Amino acid sequence: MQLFKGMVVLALLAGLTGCASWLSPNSVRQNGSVVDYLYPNAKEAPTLQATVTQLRPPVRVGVAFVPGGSWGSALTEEQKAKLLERVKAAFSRHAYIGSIEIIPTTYMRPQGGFDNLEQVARMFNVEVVALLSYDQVQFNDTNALAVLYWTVVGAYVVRGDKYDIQTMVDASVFDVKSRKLLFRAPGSSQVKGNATMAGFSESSRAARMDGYNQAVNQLIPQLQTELDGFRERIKSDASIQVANKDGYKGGGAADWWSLAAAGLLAALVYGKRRRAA
Amino acid sequence: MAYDRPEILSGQIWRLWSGHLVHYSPRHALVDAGMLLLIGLVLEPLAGTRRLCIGLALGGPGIALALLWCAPGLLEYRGASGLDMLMAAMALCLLWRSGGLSRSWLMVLGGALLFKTIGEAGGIWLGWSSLPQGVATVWQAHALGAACGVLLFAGSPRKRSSAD
Repeated sequence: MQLFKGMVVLALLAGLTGCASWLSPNSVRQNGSVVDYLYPNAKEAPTLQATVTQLRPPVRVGVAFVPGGSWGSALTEEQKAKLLERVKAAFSRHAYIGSIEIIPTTYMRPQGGFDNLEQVARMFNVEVVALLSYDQVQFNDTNALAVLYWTVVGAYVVRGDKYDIQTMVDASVFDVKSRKLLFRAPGSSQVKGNATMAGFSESSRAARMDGYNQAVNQLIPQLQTELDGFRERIKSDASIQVANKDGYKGGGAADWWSLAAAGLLAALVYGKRRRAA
Repeated sequence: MAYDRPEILSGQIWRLWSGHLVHYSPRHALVDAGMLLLIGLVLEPLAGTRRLCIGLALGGPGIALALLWCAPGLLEYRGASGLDMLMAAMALCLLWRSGGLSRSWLMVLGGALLFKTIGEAGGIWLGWSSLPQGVATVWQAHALGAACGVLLFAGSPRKRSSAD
């Protein structure tokens, strides 16, 4: 009887301490790949055609997240919009960039390819699109304190669950018409933490968002650097032509008619002054 | 030296002044210089040399800064006609106040300048432009110059006559 009771207690202990691993998987992955979006059915490498990319500053730019490949999304539309606002702010500091449009993910069809990209670019009237792809992996483990979960109260106060969230965000800037990748910039982060069993879901959700924020923090200065490098590169790159839009170059010019009117004014005033003198 | 939007935004603020001094062609420079000279002959006795110089020194960058804000698509600008319009507006206002010319003439000339600027804004080709082909007339510079001229006039005290 004593032996039987001992076995039951051991079984309960093993079950309770394993609760954390029952409730959440060891790893969770969310990703959105720009390659899967732009080349959905590619069975062989796309053939590169020699084309000349024409850029006409001030360039109209769109920024968008690549649609996620897996069911559901790590980020809500609102969270994505906030991240895109930060990328937009980084682009807007450059005078060669005209308007910047944030493109909601709802307009991006999963595996839509360049055809979908062109449709979206026409809809939002943009010439260049910055596509943000992401890859976030969350590893879940328990630590030694998890043994205290069996106390039931321990599930609410003991931080026996831990997470390790690794995030990578990549901005790839494409010219829509020529389908050419102009430049890209990466950003990554790692967020570690622990939580109670009861609060693990909420803590890890906040940490995932924090992971994205930190990755974008790293992405933005890289993007600035790559954009500056791109401006220098295009000066010697024959495959990219810069042709400014109409009206970019202007002059303040008095015409001959204005000159005649000024002459008339001067003559009238001079005449009046002579009569008064 | 020209007004260059990206360069100004990256810190080359001297272009706020020098942009008004450079031109696209000798003809462009000749016409603008002729305007400055003719209006200057009218304006300097009215406003005084010091006030005129201060007005040009402040008005030049004022026009350029306003262009940065209201003409974001304009990447390059050259020419002194913004300053021409500033001086013309100031001269017309001072002549109106001092009675140096009949008001009928002032209304005709002022109305003609206004009509010309509106026509440029509407894209109506009035002809006889001194700009080379491919360079658009920046009507905003003319309008801003005239506005600066009126503001400078409003801020200037009345000149005391010798009888005071």
